[in-house]
Amino acid sequence: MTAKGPGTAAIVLTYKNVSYPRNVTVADVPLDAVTMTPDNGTTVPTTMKTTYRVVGSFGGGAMTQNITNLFAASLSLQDSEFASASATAVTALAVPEGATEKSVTVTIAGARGSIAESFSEASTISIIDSTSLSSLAIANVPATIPVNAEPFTPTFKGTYGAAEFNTTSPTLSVEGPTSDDKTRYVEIINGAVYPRVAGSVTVVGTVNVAVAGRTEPQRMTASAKLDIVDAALTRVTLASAEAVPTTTVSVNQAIRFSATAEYRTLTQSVTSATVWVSADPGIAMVSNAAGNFGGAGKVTGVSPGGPVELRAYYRGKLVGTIPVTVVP
Amino acid sequence: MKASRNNPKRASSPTNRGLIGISLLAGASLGACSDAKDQGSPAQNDTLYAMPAGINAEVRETFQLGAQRVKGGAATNVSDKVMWTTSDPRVVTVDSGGSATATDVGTATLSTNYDGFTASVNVKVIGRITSAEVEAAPITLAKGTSYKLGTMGIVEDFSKRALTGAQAWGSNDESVVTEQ
Repeated sequence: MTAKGPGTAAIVLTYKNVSYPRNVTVADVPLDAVTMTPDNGTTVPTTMKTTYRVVGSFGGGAMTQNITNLFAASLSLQDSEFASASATAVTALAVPEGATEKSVTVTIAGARGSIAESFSEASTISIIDSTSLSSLAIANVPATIPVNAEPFTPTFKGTYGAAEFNTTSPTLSVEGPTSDDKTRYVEIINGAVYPRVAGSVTVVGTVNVAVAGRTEPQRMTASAKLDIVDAALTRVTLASAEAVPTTTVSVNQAIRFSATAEYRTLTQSVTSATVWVSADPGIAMVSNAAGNFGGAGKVTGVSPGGPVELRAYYRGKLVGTIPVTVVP
Repeated sequence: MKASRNNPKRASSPTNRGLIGISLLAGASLGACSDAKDQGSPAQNDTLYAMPAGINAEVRETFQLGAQRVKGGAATNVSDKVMWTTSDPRVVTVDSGGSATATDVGTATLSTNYDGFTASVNVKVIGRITSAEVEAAPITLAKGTSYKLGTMGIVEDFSKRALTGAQAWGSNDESVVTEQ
C-alpha cells in the first residue's frame, strides 16, 4: 500500500468472505534524513551479497520508518564487471586479474518521483577474493535440545584474510556418534535443524573453496556439538515481555508477551511458534503475523474495557491465558 | 503489486527443482503404463492421464477428478467412464462421479484405471484456515512511503501458516492510503 495521506483509512483484507480491517494512519511529515547500513559489512567476498537497509527520519525526529524500498543501488560503469547491483543489494563478482582486492563505489539513491528523490549517498565496498577463505565458524547451535523442540538455524561466518563475512551458503549436515544412519537424528529443512531422535551429534557446515591452480576445490568445514535429549515438555509459561511487566495497555498502544516451553531441565523460547488469540479483538487485538508493526505476542489496545482473555495455543493446545485490560 | 525484489537466480532454482520433481513423477506414471495390455503401440502416445496431476486441499474442501485417454496421438476425455478408489478414506473420500472430499489431515492417493492403464493423483490435505490476520496496529506511515502488511492464517487446530488462496485488499479512502 502507498501512503497518500494525511489521515486515517481502513485497509481491509477479505479472505474466505470475511473482512479483516486495519486502520492505517498517514502522517504528513517531511523526510529529514536517511541512514544507510549495509547489513553484512563493507568487505564482500566474490559471489557474496550485501544488502543496504535505509531508515528515514521524518518530521524532525518525530518518527522513523524503514524506507529501503524507495531506494536503489547503482555502480559506475567501469565497476560493473566487479560487482552488480539489484534493488539495494550489491553482489561481489570478481577482483581484477592478479589482485586480491578491489574497491568499488556504491551509490544509493532515492527513486525518482518519490519523497526520497533528493537523497543519495555513496559508500565504498571492498571486494575480496572468496578463495582467500581461511576459516569457517559456526554459531547459533544450542549445546542441548529436547527431541521435537522447535528448530534452530545455524549461522556461519567466514574469515577471508583480515575480514569476516556472514555467509549462508554452507551445506548443512549432521554426523552421528557412530557411522550409523546420519540422517536419523535431525531433519534439515531450509537451513533449519529439527531435532528428531536422541543422541550426541555434530552439526557440520561445509563449503567448497576454489583454489588457484587446482581443479579440485578445497573442502572447509565448521562444526558444533549438539546433544539431542529425550525430555518431555512439562509446560509452557507466558510472561510480559515489557521492561516493566504489565497486563494493562492504552488504546492505540501495544505491549508484548512471550511464551517459554519448559522441558525437564531446559527451556526454549516459543513466542513465535505460539498462536495468540484475543477473546475480544474489539477491545484488545493480538498479532501473530510478522512485520514492521506486528510480531507474535504483540497486543494492541483497541477500545477501553476488559479484562479480555488473551489465549496462547502451542502445538494446538491451550497452554495459558492472560487477562489484558485496556485503558483510555 | 510490485515486482519481486528477490535475486532472480536464487528465486528460480527451487522452482526448477520442483519442475524436475514433476517430470520425474510423470516418468514414473509412464513406467506404469508399460504394464498395459496394449504393448504394440508407442508408450508415449498411448496412456491415461489423471486430472489434475496433484492436489493440495484443505480439510472439507471438495474437488473434481477427471481422466484423459491418449491413444494414437488423440486425447479423449473419459472422466465419465472411470471409477476412482482412495488409498485412505480417512484422508480423502471419492464418489463414483469422481467428486472427492478432503476429510482429514494427511496424504492419500486416488487411483483409476481404464483400458488397462492406471492413473493416480496424489492428494495432500492440510488443516483449514479458519481466520486470517493482518499484523497488529498501530500502523503509522509517513506520507509518500509504501509498505506491505504482514499476514498470517490461523488453522482450525490452532496452528498457523501462510495464507493460501484468494486474498482481496481494499482501502476505504484511497486518498489516504491505497490498497495493499
